[in-house]
Amino acid sequence: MLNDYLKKMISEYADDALDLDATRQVSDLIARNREAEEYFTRLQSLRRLTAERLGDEPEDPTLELRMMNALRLRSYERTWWERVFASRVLSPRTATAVAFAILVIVLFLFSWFQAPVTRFLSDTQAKVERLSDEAQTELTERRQELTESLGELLAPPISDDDEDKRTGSTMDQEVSVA
Amino acid sequence: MVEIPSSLLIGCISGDDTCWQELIRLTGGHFQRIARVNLRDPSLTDDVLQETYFKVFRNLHKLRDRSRAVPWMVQILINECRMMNRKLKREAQNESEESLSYQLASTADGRGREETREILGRLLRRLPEHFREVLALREIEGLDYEEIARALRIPVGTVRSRLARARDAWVELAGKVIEEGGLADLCLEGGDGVA
Repeated sequence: MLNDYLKKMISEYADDALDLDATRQVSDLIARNREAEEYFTRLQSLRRLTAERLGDEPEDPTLELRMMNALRLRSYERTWWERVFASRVLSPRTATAVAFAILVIVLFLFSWFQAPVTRFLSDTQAKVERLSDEAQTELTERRQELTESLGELLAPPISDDDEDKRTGSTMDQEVSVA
Repeated sequence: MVEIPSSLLIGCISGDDTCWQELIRLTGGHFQRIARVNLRDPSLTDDVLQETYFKVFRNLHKLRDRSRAVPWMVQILINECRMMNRKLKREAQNESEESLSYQLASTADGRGREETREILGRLLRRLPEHFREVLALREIEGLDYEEIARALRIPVGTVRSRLARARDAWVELAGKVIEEGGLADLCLEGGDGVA
């Protein structure tokens, strides 16, 4: 029965990987020992057949195109987040876990920021109302001023003849009294 | 295995499509053969190759020693095969595996070159993963011990011993297959058959 050491030597002998002395020793062993010879013969036959059949397979003519196409698709068209999504979130368990985590985060953020947001909205509303009132008041005052100005502008002017007439009648009244 | 010129790798790093195409043309056939033997399901070879080239594309700029590009790429390929095999193993835990003898019997009639290839592939796939990897790199791709050591990231001494144990298991398994009536080609070749 061949031991592991001899099998290892025969294996390296088959690969021509031994030094000269070891090669001679293994060669002698194979020549003298029938079991070693059988083992070596079997190994070499199997190696030869495998190299012939599996080592010489016909080239796949479309392999190059398929690989390039796949490479382009994966490298150029996908962004990093798409790759992360594809690799991390596509499995159902992971997807559920991620969805749950996102929901929890959203609820937490909502509860955390609810008071400040409400206060901000109330303040903003009050400010808007105050500004609206101020604007309304100012508008009313302006309208009133404008109306008065227009009234003054549209009133009929006093002419020189009227003034003379008024002065003349006053003098007549004074004379008649005298 | 092929030699990849440094200029080609530089072109790939700079994003030249033609260089990538050339790189795939040079290595595709070799990688396809390695993947077919190492995968539990050879129909997934394309998927594994795509993943391998994608990782090469992403990480090529990190490779310092460009003379070791091929072992580096083979290493990525082997890792991808391992990952795919683990995935397949998980998926197939509840399914009973067909025995090799049954698979062989189904192809026993009218066996040609293609069938022999199929049987030899199945024979290798029956071996443990670490045996299958060294055998594929040595017997199919013809890598030397140093290259295998680099590709699998193990010492050369481990490659030697692992290869010897793998061959022992391989020869033994082939003997059983022949007893079951498969691999007649081994018996017919030049009178120095296994059986």
